[in-house]
Amino acid sequence: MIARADTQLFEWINSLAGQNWLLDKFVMWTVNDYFIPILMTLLMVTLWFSGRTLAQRERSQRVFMIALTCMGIANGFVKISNNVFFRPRPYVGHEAHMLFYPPTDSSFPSNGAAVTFALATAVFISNRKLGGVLYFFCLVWAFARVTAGVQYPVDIIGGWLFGVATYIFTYFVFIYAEPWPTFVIRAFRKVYLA
Amino acid sequence: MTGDYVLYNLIACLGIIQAGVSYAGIRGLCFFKRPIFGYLFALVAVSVSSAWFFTVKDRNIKGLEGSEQFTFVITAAGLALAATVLLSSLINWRMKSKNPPVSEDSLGPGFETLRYMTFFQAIKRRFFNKRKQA
Repeated sequence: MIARADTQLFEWINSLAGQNWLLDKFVMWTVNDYFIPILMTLLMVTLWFSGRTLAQRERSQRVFMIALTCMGIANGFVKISNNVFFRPRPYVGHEAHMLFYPPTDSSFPSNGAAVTFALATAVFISNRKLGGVLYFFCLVWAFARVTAGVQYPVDIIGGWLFGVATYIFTYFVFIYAEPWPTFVIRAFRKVYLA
Repeated sequence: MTGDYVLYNLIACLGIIQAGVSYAGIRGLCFFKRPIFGYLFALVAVSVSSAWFFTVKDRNIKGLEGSEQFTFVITAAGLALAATVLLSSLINWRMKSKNPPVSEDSLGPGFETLRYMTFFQAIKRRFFNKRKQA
């Protein structure tokens, strides 16, 4: 039943492709592997410098470290998952309107969604404004991926769950790893880089 | 592709770092005296590098893997920070002498020190002046 609903939802969203020139251009601009991830990473970089007081900055730098670690771990989790489970892309077995090159790796979970949602969740927990902006970018990217015919909606939801799970895992890793994260920030601070 | 990607991230990070340090008031790392120019520099660096990266070639093709992107982004951010440190130290080389002398106690750790001096002035003060005193 979930699979059928997933396919129907995919077909509905994907049917938007090719209907409107402006929407197609927007999807083609945002769907690629670089635009939104880089934009999100750049916003994350500002965390290292933001904060007007020492305490604020230390908190932001901790969030930056967690978010960066989340990105790496989410990538690893998806790689492991892809070795265990393979789901063909939507264009295999369905007539999909493609606005992107046809990828051949597993469709579930969405690697991009896992990484970006992990980053956005890590930031959202401590900075609602910036986290909200990052979540918005994640949703735009997710919409573009489905509209472009390279991902099912469930792949995105799976990616989101992977991302949130990655954040929870990383958060506890950081708690157990104390005092090392603090030590890293202080080491950077000693050489005036934090 | 790799070169383009690193260069794009490097320029965009350089801009974003300027926005960050301008907002936080870390003057020793700023390229400009007024924060508004820092924000404008960020806007220009991000828009120009994005426009270049996405128009010079079609990016909707198979390119870098996620793990490769992760590595290159970190590399570019590190290079951008190094470039910021170098350029800001060159631009603000007279900063410490222009500012009234700051007492040891009023200087905070890390970036707090860079509110009053450049990166290399701070490094010199920390590691070389102490050695002289010893």
